[in-house]
Amino acid sequence: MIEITNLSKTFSLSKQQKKEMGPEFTGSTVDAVKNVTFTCVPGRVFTLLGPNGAGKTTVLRMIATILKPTTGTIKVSGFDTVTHGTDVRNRLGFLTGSTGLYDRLTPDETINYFGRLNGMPDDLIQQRKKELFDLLGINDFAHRRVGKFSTGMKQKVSIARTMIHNPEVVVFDEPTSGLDVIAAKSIIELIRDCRKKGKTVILSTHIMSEVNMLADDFAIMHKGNLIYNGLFTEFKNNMKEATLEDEFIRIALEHDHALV
Amino acid sequence: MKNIFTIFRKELRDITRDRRTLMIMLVIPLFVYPAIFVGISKYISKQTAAAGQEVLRIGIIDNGNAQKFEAFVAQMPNSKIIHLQDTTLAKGMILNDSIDAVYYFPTGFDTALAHLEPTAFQYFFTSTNNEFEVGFIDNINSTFKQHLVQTKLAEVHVSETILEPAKSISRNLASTREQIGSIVGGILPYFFIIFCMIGCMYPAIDLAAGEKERGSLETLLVSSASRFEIYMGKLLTVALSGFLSAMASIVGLIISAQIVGADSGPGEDSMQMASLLNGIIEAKTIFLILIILLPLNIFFAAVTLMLSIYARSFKEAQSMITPLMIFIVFPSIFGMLPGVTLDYTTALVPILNVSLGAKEIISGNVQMGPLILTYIALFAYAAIALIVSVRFFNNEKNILRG
Repeated sequence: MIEITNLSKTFSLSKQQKKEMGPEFTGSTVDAVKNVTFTCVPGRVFTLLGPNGAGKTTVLRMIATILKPTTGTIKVSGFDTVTHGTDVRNRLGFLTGSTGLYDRLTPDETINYFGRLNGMPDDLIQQRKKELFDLLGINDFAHRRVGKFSTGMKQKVSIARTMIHNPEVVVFDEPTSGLDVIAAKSIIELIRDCRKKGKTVILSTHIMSEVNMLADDFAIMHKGNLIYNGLFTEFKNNMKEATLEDEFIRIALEHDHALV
Repeated sequence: MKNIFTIFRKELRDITRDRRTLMIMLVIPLFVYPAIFVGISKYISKQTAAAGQEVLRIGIIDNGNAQKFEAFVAQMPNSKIIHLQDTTLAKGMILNDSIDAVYYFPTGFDTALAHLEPTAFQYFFTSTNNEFEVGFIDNINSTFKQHLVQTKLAEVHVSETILEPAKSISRNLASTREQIGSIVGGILPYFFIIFCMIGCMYPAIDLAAGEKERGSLETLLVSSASRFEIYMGKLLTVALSGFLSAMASIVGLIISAQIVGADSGPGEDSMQMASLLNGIIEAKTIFLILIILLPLNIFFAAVTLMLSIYARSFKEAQSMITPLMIFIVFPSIFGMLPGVTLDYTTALVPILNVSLGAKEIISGNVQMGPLILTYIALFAYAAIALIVSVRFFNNEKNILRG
């Protein structure tokens, strides 16, 4: 379970960043996330849709304890991300589109490393590693260095690394961006599998087809605000436009007009 | 603590699988000293052997006016007299190296000498000649003048002691190690410091900015390891890498001593160099140098890691860390200058104190008070750098800058 209450994140800008914002920008801070509240429950996929720069990754990074909220709270499986960071990370898996592997290590070494870092005893690491390697078909290249792997092979290792400690909560941050169709499919299957096993899943994406395939609960982020939060089936039933893309654009524009 | 060790072990495995890092960290430090010392030793031996066989070609323009000088030079070993007619031709011959020096004597030179009248002679040479040739010419000039004085004094029955009623005899109490150590002792710490820095630099860039660029830092931050554990695991790896570079250079010194010693005969200059190197590789000397390099490596590791964490990419980290070399090279070179010694003030100047401390340890002439202050100062600087660096790593603005 992930419970997010009144979450905001403000970044202070350097001189260079202010310059990059353009001459019309006069402030010294940027509100990346503004007073966001939502809950992700076990056994369901919470899908966070939004364009680039909407604040999705910032929210996910705060859930994963990489960033601290400016205001508001996040609880993962009942643990506060600020005061009980280690407890949160013990229960959390985090997967992005960038595989983030070590080129000079083998999949076997990588999984052992993350298993140990997550406090798992050696025998459990070996048992869990065997299960994951069998499931993902990693055994053939388990002892070769990652550096020369294809994207698909790397993504499999990346999945094994995310799931080695059998996390209760799994965070997917645009996990299919930059992947080919086959590698992307393995991620979609992983998300479905996590739902089936009763894990809490939060998926951030800007790909509408993924939302269609996976979303149980659904939220739209735009310019740091949560502009929609509800069941995906309800959202689809109440759509005023023919496609998800058009409906998303309509809601975003409506929000922009409301701000003006 | 367990996580620090896990991260340290993984990072060490990772960097030792990188050929570039291994080359910079171990291979270069291992071979630099043998290349320098064996090279110098071979050069000295070659020059000495060549000097023993070299015949100095001395031109004389005197028109029969300098018979005494000619007779004097003729009896000197390894010299050959060539009679010339004019100075223009002589100068050309010196410049194209067909002659080594030319002496020009004015008309009536011998007559003036005989009557104790003031006279002079000129000699032409190039100061860029090799050391042996310049020394030989100086020797001719001084011994010829001495010979003239002795001859004249003998003619008038006056003892030579009138020229030097009391002789001054110097007794240098500095040991051979101290004398040679004061000359080459400055060069060795310079390389120790540079190797420590180079040994830290590349792993620091790879383990922080490199990880950021590859996207693996984010996944590491989401593991159960705390930021402090991640930082310490990386810092220990970087510091060890710098330390191993310094160790490799010490092994290089030992190899140098063995090679130079095996190649040298008794009494040769290169034998003195071998004995100096053997003196340096005493357990006590190595121990004192390693202790001085330990906090230096932690200091370098903390600073390089801090900059590397701040950098957006591998390339940016390189461009931020490389200029640091200027701040390291300058005090290291300053420490090599004669007259700059380790005292209670210089002991507080980072890098310079390492350079001077190591120099004095090598020459065997170390004062314990300033050396202890050096150790204290270095550990204090390392601790400050560590604290600042940890705080820097904990700041999300730095770690996710990009």
